[in-house]
Amino acid sequence: MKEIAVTLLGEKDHGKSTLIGNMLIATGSATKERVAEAKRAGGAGFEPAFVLDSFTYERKRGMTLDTTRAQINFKDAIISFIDVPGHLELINNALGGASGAEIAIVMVSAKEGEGFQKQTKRHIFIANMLGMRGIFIAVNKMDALGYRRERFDRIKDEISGYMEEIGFEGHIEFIPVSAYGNENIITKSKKMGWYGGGPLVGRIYDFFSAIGSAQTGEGTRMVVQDTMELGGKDAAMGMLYYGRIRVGDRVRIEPSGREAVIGRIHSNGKETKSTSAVRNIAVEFDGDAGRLERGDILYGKDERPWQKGRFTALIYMTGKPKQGSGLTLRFNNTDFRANRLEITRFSDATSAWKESKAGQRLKANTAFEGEVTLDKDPPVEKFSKYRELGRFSIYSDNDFCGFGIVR
Amino acid sequence: MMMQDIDKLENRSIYIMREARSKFKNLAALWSMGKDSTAMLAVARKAFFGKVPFPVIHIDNGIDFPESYKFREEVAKKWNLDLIVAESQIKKELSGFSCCGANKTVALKKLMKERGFDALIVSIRRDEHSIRAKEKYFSPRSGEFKWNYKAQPTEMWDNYTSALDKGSHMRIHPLLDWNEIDIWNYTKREKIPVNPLYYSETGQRYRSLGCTHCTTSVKSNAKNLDQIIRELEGTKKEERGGREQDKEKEYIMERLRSLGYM
Ligand SMILES: Nc1nc2c(ncn2[C@@H]2O[C@H](COP(=O)(O)OP(=O)(O)O)[C@@H](O)[C@H]2O)c(=O)[nH]1
Repeated sequence: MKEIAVTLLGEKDHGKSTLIGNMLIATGSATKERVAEAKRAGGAGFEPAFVLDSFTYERKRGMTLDTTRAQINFKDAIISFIDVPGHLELINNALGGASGAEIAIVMVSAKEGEGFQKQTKRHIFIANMLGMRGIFIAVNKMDALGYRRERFDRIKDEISGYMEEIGFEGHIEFIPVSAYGNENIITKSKKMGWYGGGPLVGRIYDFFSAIGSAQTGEGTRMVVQDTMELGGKDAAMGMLYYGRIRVGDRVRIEPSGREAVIGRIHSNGKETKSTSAVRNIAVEFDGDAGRLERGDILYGKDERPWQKGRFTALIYMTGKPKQGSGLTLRFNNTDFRANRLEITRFSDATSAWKESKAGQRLKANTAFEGEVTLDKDPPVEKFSKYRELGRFSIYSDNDFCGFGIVR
Repeated sequence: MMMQDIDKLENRSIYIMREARSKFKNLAALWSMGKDSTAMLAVARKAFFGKVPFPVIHIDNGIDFPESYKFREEVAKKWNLDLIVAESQIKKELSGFSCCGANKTVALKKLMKERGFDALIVSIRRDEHSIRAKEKYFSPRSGEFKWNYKAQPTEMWDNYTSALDKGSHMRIHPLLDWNEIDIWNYTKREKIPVNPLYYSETGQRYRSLGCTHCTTSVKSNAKNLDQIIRELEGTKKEERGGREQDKEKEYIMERLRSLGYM
């Protein structure tokens, strides 16, 4: 079974809930009870989005909660939409889901007066930063334009121009759809003969099948999460994100650079001689490996981290840091304080990068590139190569206010 | 019903539980003797070298099924659990959710205070009910057990929040991503003990367990795990269908209240 994690982005009212509602119905992925109940509650004013909404009470009171999850069965795949943002425009709601996704659908309504908007530009900017492997632009509400191609072409040009401006290099596709009318969603629409490509869900499925969810980094990387005493010695528990570990392997513990030999391996509740990524495992060492700490990373003995404690980062602020409380960067649930941040350029995430002036301050809805110096020297890797070791969320006084990646 | 990769799910759950043990000084878990919380304990045993390293709480209103009490004793002994039974009252004038919900909450609040637990592992799944789909892995609750839904912490890249205001505690949801059918596949693969109420004897079985007052059975001939799994593969019915309608409404109202909507 393939599992495809998708994030659905786009401006409020451009048709995200309608799309999911109709996909759930058309693929038979929603229970009959749920569909019947939604139809009953909606009466003459039924909308496909009702299938997605939580329950009658929510709808009757006009309350829409902010996020939800939906799973669609398509061929031999489950397409999971995580944290679908609802009517709240706060990007924070979408980030949880988006950060776990490999593919993004961005809804852009082609309807007069809607079109390619500021908020959508931000979403695309963020999807690009998160390293989405494919971005599918669903140009929606084509029915409202008589399914003609002119506005589709114009929106495609506009978005392509913007992508170039922000330096997008990934895979992008444009698909004209009607979420409401179910055109070009699951099956190819007969109303837009001028469009040569496949329907949205089919295109995502084919694209994902072709690329797979491959890991990019080489070598061994295990992030220590915690330790636990086992038979008088500390076992290190954590995620083996890359590579393979065998009993007898000599590993290097960063940031200290100490070496140690693997004595025993526990993987999925069993002892084993050898195990491979991605897995949450525990290892015991032969002899004395010294104290291990949360956030330490085990490398193959001849491997070295990309940087330690100081690196070039790309960060995106969703909120403004609190005055005087500094920034905390959380890597794999381990916190570090940013001692210095030298910003070199910035962007409002709706237009190209600009050189920064001296004394540039952090502000909300803005992206920054610069040099970060932490209070300690944890090993970090380039996000483009070892995703899990090159990304962090940002907090100010315990409140989430942004995220970043190591360049 | 959609079947996911149980190795992946297990790994994630192990990660979450190890994170919980590492971040909180005084962790405990809720155990209802149902399929989900029993599977959670099985994952915990894998995460912590064969031993569940935190106390396991059953909030007992005295009217659970006899099968459940027997199951509780058997599993607690077999897995050497540090079991805490918190007695909860039954009030005649209340029924449905207010009965097993409100009173259980009172009992749990009292216990949390006495024992000073700062985090509770709760085995909810997103596919259980649409309101659950909005949950996070680490979710702070106030001293009054309120879920401040609107100010939920953003969980990016598995970075969870562990900051707590005074008097509040963390709810930890290691099974959030699992579907009902995944629980059964896992139960089968890992040979996890099963509360016999889930099996059909006379054409009826339970899909979800509450106490004797509010749980009703569903039509089914599934007498073993394979048959349950086969039955779920073809089902178009919601899991909580076995709970009485008016009680289901109360359940939703109660959730909404806790969201601060009414
Ligand atoms: N004409 C037309 N209207 C649509 C289409 N898709 C969605 N809508 C309407 O646009 C409005 C907003 O849609 P909704 O799905 O709630 O948007 P969301 O805020 O992005 O989730 C609703 O009134 C929908 O009926 C479409 O394909 N064509």
